[in-house]
Amino acid sequence: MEILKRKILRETLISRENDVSYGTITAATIYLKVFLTQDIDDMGMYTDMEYVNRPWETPASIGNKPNLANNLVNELVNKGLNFPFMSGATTTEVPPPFNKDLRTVNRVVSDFYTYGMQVTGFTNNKLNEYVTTLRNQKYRKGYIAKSEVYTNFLGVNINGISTITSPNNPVFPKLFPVVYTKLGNNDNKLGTVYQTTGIKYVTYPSPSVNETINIDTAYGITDLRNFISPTNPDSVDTVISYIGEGFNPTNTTLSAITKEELYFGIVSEPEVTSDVFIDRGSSSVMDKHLRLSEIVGVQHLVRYGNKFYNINENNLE
Amino acid sequence: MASGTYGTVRPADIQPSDAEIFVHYTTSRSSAGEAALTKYKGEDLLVKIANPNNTTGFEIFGGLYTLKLPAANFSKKGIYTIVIKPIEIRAKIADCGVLSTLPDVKGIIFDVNTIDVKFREKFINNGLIGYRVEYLDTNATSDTKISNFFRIITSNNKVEGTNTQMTTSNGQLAIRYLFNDASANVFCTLSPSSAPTSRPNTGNNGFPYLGTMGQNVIITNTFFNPIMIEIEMVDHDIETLAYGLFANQSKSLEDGVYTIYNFSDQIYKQYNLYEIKDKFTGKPLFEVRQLRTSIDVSKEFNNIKNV
Repeated sequence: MEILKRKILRETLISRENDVSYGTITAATIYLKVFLTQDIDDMGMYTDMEYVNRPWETPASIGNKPNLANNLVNELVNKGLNFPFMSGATTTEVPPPFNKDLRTVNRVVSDFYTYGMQVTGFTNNKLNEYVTTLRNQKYRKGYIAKSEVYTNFLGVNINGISTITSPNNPVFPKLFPVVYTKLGNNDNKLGTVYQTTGIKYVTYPSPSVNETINIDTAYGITDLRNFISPTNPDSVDTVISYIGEGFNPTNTTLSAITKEELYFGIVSEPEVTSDVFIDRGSSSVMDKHLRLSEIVGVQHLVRYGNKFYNINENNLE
Repeated sequence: MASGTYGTVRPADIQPSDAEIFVHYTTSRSSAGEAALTKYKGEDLLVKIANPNNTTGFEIFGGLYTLKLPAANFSKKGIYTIVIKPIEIRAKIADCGVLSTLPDVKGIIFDVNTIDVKFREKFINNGLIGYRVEYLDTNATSDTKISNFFRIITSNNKVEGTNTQMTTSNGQLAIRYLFNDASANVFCTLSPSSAPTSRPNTGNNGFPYLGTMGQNVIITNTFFNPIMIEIEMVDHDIETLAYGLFANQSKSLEDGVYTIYNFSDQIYKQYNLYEIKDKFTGKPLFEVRQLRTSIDVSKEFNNIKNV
C-alpha cells in the first residue's frame, strides 16, 4: 500500500491580521490532492443460468372475490377475517426508477434492449450488385436487384427490396450521388431520410485525387464527415447507414449468471483442435470398430497402428 | 502497435460514499497517540474533480480527488495518519444453501432488510460482484475478525427459498433457492468454493468454508486500493525560516521591541530586547531576547515606515 507524506505549515492557517483574530487559526479547511487507483483483474467468462419459473400458485382472488382454493384465504375466511388482497387489491409500492443496467420487478426482457439509433460509416460501393443487363443503362433507378419478404428483429414482416432509388439513370463513370438500398421495406420512405429498414448506401462520384467530398443531409446521412477518395474503383466512396438494432432477442439472451471456478481468469471459450488425423485408408466403415475400445491414449494409437491407421504426426508434440 | 499485454492499474472513479476515512493523531513520534481512530464519512471529506475533456456536463476525473480536512480537527501540531479505504458493510449471513436447479452451486444468503439502508441499493442483482467478504468470530472475546481469511463474491442474485424434493431420498424435502427478483434475499456465490480434487466434496470434508448461518461478516468493495497519508503539522518550515532571514524586521530603540515580519509585512514574531545588569555594580551581565506573548500592534510595518 502506498504511503504519502505531507508536511503542512500551521502558519498558513493562522491569521496575522491586525485585529482580534491575530494569532488564531482562522482557516476553515485544509486542502490536499489524493490519487486513488484500482488494480484490476478479469474474472473471466461467466456461465448463463436459466431462470426457472416458480410453480403455479393459487391466486388469492378470482374476479375480485376470495379464492377459497388458496389455503391462506380459506383459513382467513373461516375465521371471519377479510383483507384487501383477498378481493384483488394490490400494493401501492412504487417501483424504483427504471435503469437498463438493473433487473427490477415489473420489467420484461424486452425493456432492456436498446435500438433505434442511426449508424453511419464509410465503405466501398456496392453498385456491382445493381447492374442491369441493359447495354445503354448500366444502372437504372427502380431496378430491383433482389426482393425478399423477411421478418426483422422485432418480428415485423418486411417486404424488402434492393434497388436504386435516385437519381434517374446514373451514368458511369460520372455518377451523381447514387442512393440505393438493400432489403429496405418497399414503401414511400425507401431511400429517404425516413427509411428505417434495411441498409441504405449513398455512392458519390469518383473525385479527383485529394478532392474533398462534402456529404450532406439530403440523403438522410446525419454524419457530416468529409472524406477524400482517390480515383480507384475499390476506393471508399460510399456512405452506409442503417438503424442499429443493438442487443436484442435475435443475437443475445439475458439471464442470471454464475461463475464457475474452472473458468476463473479464462476470458474465452476453450477451443479444441485436433492434432491427430486418422486415415482409415480403404477400410470399410463396417470394419471392426471394437478395436478402438482398447485405445485409451494417443500413444496406443501410434503403437497399435498395425497399418490400420495412418497418423498425421505433423502437429503432434 | 498492440503488444498483447495490458495494464492492470486504472485510476479509480469511485463515489465519495464508497470510501471511509480513519484518522489517528499523535503529538510526536515518541508518543503512541490517541487510543482510537476517528472515523469520517467519505462524502464529507472527499470531493470529485471535473474532467475538463467533457465541456457539456460534469464527468468525474478518474483518480484525482480533493481531500477537504476541517481545520478545526487538523490544526494541532503533531502527526495525523489518514487512511482512505473502501467502506465496510456489516451484515449477517441469513442462511447457507444451494440453488434448486443447480445443487452444485453453493452460496450464502443475506436478508437485504437487515442491511443498513444506505447500502441496500448495492444488493441488486450482480451488484456485489468483486466485493470481498471477511468473517467475524462472534465467539471470540477479543479481536473478533478472523485474520488472513476472505472470500470474493462472484455473483449475486435475488432468490427465495422453496421446498424442493431431494433426488437422493424418497419424499425428503429441503430448502433450496430459486431466483426471484421480487424477493428481499440475495444469494451470493463466493470464490473459492470448490473442493480440491484430492478431497472431493463427499461429507464436506474438502469443502472450503463459506460461512455459517448467523455469522457476522464484513462486505467491502474493491473499487480502489487503500492509501495512507501521513500529515505532519509543523510550526516551522523553510518558509518561516525565510521570514527570519529575508523578510523585513524592526527594532524599536525606545522600548526594545524587536519585530520580525512575514513577506506580507504582517507581524510574525515580536521579542523584547533588554539587558540584565548587576544591581550593585551596574555591570552588564546578559543581553536577552525574549518572545513576547502579546503583540504590540503599534509596531506594524506600515506604521513604522510612515513615521
